[in-house]
Amino acid sequence: MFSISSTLAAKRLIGLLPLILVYAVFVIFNYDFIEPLLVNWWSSHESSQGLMILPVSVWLMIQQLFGRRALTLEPVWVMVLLFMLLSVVIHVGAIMHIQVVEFSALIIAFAVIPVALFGVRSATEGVASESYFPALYSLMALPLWDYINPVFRFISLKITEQFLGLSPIPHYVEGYRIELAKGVFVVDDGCSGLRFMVSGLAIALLYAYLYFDTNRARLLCVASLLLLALVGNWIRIIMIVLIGYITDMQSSLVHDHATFGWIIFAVLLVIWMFWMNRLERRT
Amino acid sequence: MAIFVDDSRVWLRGWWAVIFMVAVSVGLGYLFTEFFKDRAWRKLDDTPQIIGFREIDQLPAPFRLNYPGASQIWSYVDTGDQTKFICIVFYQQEMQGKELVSSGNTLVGKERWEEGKKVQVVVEQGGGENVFSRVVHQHPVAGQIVVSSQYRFASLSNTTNPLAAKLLALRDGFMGSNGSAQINTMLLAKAGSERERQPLIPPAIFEVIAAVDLQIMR
Repeated sequence: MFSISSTLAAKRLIGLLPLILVYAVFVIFNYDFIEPLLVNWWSSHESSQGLMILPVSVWLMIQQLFGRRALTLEPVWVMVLLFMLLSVVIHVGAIMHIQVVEFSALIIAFAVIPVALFGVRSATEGVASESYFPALYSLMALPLWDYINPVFRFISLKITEQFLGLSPIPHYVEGYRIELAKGVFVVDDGCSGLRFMVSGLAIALLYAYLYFDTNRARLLCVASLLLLALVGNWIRIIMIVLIGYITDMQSSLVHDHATFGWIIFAVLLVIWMFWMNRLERRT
Repeated sequence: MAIFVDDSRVWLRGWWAVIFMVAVSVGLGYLFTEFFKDRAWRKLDDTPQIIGFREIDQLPAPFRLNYPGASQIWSYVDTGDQTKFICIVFYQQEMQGKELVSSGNTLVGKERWEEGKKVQVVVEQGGGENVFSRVVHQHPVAGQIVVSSQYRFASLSNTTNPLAAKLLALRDGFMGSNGSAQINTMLLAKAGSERERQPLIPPAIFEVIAAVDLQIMR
């Protein structure tokens, strides 16, 4: 038993050697570009999910490869050329000083490597087709979310304004500043709720891929968590304004409420997971 | 139990892709470095001199600088009024969410800033326009009010390499000058109980920063 599993593990490792080699060389010779990306993920609230998404994506791709009867190299030359093009784009982005181009090309190149070496198999007799999802999942880590942040910041402001309009709390709104009798709140970039939405989307997509077979269930899975993340953020802002009003801005939550947002998100996530678990059993 | 590597000829044919991808990873970096090695980028070794201020190693408490990814940081103190400081943070590239005062970049504590309106300021310098944005922030720390003004430098670096120049022009065509390297300048002042005191960066400093040769680094 032990010898069979160890033989299997050794053969898997040998089969993955080309992938490990290309990844290692790619990382070593592009480290100047990879380091700022890691620093950005590590230090940023808005894009830290990249630290989870990229490894998960690579792991899903490897798991999919392990489902094959034989792990042979099946290069897809279009993808190999795409990898070359992306490698050029990384350097061009550096010369042009556009970090978003550098980061995007790096992330896509990372996802392209396994596909370029092993391909994604179509359905054959008795064997289901492989999925592009593991590779596409890495696109969630692209640093493009900030561009839609102003939209959700504006929506958060309007929702808060609507709530205050219905409440007896005297207030004055100018731009993104909400002035109460005892203090001022600013609906900041971080109040858009984008960080919760992106995290929610990453979790929901993974859940839908792993546990649901029908598109209807997958759509419900993703849409419901997106909506919950958005509503959770609005609840957070409204509660902070209320707490600020009630405590004359003395509560510590008024000044540091990032963790408070994650607690609300976690509570909603647990409720969502119970719901999805029931849905999974039904479907 | 037929497992994995089962056809050596197919296996070896596939290795051409591996060799090609390894060569691309190794070779492109070398080629680009060689091709652009004569470009005019150079590191800003000399600290920009600002009249009325002298450079200090680090800002005193309660200021705690945390600017990950910054290429260079300079700090100054007013030679007369020791409660006024200037902090210049230079990023090689436009950094998303890397404003001097933000939840990611912390100066004092976190997320306790009151932010005023943003105003665009244009300074003619060095044969072109330098666009700055000015914002007043307030932060209560230990009974003090810290007032800061933030400016973003959006001038373009130059290069003698024709291809690099074309790429930069292409970048500006798509993104405008906001896509360029950025330099942020803050005037920090411990304003004590004078909550209304909101000093702004004097125009002289503005001009010094705009004139700084930003042909930077790799």
